[in-house]
Amino acid sequence: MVLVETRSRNLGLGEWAVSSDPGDVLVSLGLGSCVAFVVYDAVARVGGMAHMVLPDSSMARSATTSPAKFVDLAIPLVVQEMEARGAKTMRMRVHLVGGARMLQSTRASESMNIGDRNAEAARLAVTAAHLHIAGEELGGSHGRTVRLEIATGEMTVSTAGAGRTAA
Amino acid sequence: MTDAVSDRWAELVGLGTRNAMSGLSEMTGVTIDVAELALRRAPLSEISHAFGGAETEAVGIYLTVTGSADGQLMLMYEPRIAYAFIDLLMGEAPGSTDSLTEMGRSALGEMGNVIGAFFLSAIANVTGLTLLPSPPEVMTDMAGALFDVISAEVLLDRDETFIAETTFRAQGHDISGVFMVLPTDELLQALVTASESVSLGAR
Repeated sequence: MVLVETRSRNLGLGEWAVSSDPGDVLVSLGLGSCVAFVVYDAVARVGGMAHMVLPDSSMARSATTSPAKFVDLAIPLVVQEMEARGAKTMRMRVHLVGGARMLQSTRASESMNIGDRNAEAARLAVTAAHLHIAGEELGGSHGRTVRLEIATGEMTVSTAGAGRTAA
Repeated sequence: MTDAVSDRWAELVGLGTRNAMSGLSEMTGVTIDVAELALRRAPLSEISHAFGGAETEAVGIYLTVTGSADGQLMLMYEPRIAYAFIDLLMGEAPGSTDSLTEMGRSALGEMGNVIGAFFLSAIANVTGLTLLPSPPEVMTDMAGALFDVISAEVLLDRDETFIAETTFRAQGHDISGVFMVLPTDELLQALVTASESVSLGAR
């Protein structure tokens, strides 16, 4: 067995990455209402992740913002880069993680339900990209951290004060 | 954001924060001082660095601001500091609280009410704006998940935010934490415009 030294690449809000480096572990820490799009092609050994904050780029009040924070723009960006590195959409295994409802009270502002809206927008964008969702860990009221190992495609999700689950 | 806007904003936040701490001192009967007030701009992708990393467990007290324009207020503490605060608010001996009970949540919510009301009224007084705090919401989770609550709103305007971090201390109690004030662009503009002819030096 060959041991590869791994290094974590932490993706902040609105950041994304695609990697074929077996040493890389893509990580989105502390996802609350944010949704992580996690994708892997086991044949090409290419993986990608986007840490998405808002469901729809039409919500932006300013044109100066980065595209990857929006679900509708981030997912096509990642998929395109995956394909550029030899991945095929028919082999891509997709997981969606996050989309928690962090605020329990019902308030008038529409941003309060942003977790649900991010989750729904992500499902739609995945379908629009002709991809299949292999698994979801969406909703609830707690934060999550997701990690994707590029060497193996193994994905783990952990929550505050709880253990990890592998997928 | 120009330097002039940034300076005016810093003055207003300083004014509001000092007033909020005097409200908190009144509430607890313990003198609470602003030990440090740091205002800075940060890319939202790095916002969780303000709290020792996105996976760090935190207790957050969150309020929205409505009225003349919208904004958000968030107080964040490490759990042990939130517990120390609960001891202080409930008049318990330091170290009595070691978990977040319904009673403790309620005490922290009350603290959010006082801080929000005093902070906003100080700013409203000098600007003539109407600034109303919502009821507070008390949350406990990974810091990154708590930051998501505020980030979604801020990111509609821009990719960076203006963070006011405050450390405050009370006699015999280590209660440093982060108090973040996050205006919408609309609120920032309204505050600065309304206060342009007002001297903020004295309090």
